[in-house]
Amino acid sequence: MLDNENRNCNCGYMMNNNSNMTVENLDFPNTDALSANTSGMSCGNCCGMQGMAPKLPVYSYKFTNIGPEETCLEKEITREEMIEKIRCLSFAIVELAEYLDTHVDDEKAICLHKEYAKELRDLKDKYQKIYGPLTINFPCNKWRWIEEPWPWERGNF
Amino acid sequence: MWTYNKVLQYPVNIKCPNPKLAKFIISQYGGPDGELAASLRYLSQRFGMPDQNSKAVLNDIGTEELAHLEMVGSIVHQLTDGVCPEELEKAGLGAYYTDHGVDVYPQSAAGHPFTAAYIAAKGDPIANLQEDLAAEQKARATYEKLIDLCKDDPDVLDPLRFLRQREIVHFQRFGEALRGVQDKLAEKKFYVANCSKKICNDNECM
Repeated sequence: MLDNENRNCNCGYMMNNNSNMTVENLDFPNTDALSANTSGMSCGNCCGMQGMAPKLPVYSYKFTNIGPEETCLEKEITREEMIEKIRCLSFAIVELAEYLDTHVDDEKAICLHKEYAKELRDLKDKYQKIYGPLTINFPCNKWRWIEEPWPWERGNF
Repeated sequence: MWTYNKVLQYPVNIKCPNPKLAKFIISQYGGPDGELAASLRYLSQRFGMPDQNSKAVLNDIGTEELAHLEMVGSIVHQLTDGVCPEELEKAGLGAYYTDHGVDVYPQSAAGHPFTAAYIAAKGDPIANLQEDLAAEQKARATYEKLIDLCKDDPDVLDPLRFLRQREIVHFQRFGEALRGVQDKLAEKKFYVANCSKKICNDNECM
């Protein structure tokens, strides 16, 4: 995740290992988003958005106790931490996808999407092998899909 | 939560537009026994189910109904795609065109807009599952009537037959879920009834 640091460049996405997944830009929703002030938009070429770009909320993610994958043993990650990371990555992907729908040429966003999508795929795979399926598409020997709690039952999974 | 899969559950490729058929088929989109009502009915009822199997069945069938909603919407769209307003009017869709243009709007064949009154969620697992069994049969019956009306166009007939078949499978699953729930509630009732009756007799519940 280290590559994600220092990405708070107004393209809307910032990785911050110290805080929860929160919307930090409280200017949002800005009903006048498209005419948002252009100060602070000097992020070079990193996000492909210049001048009149809408100001987007800044999200950051908490990956407490989840170090870089190569130094992190699987057993050290609790189920809650794993699902929280899946939730964060899923949400980041939803947000990026919606953004990309109207900014299809933003290479910075595409790059982030690619990175998160791969990470999510691997993490989900790992999670499902241990804790059972997240979707009915996961191959299995035993039908664990009906196991409780369901997401609406305060299981928080 | 849900994610979208960019593929129809069963293909819909209609070559000849036919707004008359669209006017009937739209009932399975937003009518009383349509896919929207079915999906919301099951997804609303799942919260109150007492056992693992019925929760899973309602969750998964409610989800599949969303895929069917998309199929029916695709059928309606393709049947009206590129049709001029005059033709729409001739097919009885003049009023529809006035209010909704080329969008697919959830309404019944008779033109009644979708209403949450179609979503029976009674707060009683047995009543709910019986409702669902009836809903699947009503949807099957509706598809059969639509199949009668669409005999001339195999492109429309094919997905309708698939959808009819799914109603039958769902009926089967709901029947199995109902038996499980009945067993579960039979166990539970024995304990709860005795307990609450005793407390009430002692006036402790007042």
